[in-house]
Amino acid sequence: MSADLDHLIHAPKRLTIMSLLAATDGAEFAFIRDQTGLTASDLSKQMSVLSEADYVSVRKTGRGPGSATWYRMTRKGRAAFEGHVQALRNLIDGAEAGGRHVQTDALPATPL
Amino acid sequence: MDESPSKVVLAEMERRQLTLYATAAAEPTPWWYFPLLAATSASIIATFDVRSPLLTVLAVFVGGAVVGGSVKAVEHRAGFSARLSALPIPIRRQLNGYVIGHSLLVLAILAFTAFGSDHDRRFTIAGLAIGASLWLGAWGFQARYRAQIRQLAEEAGIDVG
Repeated sequence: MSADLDHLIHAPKRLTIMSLLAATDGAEFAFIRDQTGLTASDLSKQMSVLSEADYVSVRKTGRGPGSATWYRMTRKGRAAFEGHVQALRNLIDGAEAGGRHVQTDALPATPL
Repeated sequence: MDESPSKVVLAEMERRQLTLYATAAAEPTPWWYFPLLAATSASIIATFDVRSPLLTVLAVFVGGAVVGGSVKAVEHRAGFSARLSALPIPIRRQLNGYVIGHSLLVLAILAFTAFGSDHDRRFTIAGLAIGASLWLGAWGFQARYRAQIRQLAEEAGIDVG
């Protein structure tokens, strides 16, 4: 199967977030923050990027102190994530099939 | 031994997902959760004794709302909703086995009740049996699920507390 690395997801923080969201049908902001160890402002920034790319959808629940923001991976986001994982697997398979030293499976530079 | 960068990235992703399940599995389930599911299913089946399709339909709707609401409440408390299709394969197999096994048990109880009993309250009794089996089965499955997640997490070197 042919798949390309997704440069938006490839950034380590966003890949971490997408890995978490891929295992859920939705997660709350504080939960993602605690699991990833990102600061609230950084997480907010990364979620905005993913949301603008339509990789995640946002849902706000409640009002006031009890309010919460939930994120869910969209179909487009899930397809992009699965394509990215497949591309990583292809890189591994290619490196191993070629009998090269696995360090030649070089990933592109990762923007934060 | 050196690992390829892609392998490291994939391994880290899997580790993140396993940590998520291990963290969630360590959280206690509200005491009322399984009894409520059991009572709801028992109530729906017990309506068959009244022989009023309208009451059964109403019970299904109310029961669906109660179950849906309680699932939402538990998810809200946990902060996430697990995606069953993303569970580790051994656990997904175990879940499938539990769902299929319990469905067959429910069908067997209903078939026996419908064709093998003439007791006035036979569906109430069947509902209680199904509710109890649901409660015990879910409790047993959860205990095994937690043990398995803990084992997978420990093998991956994840501290689950």
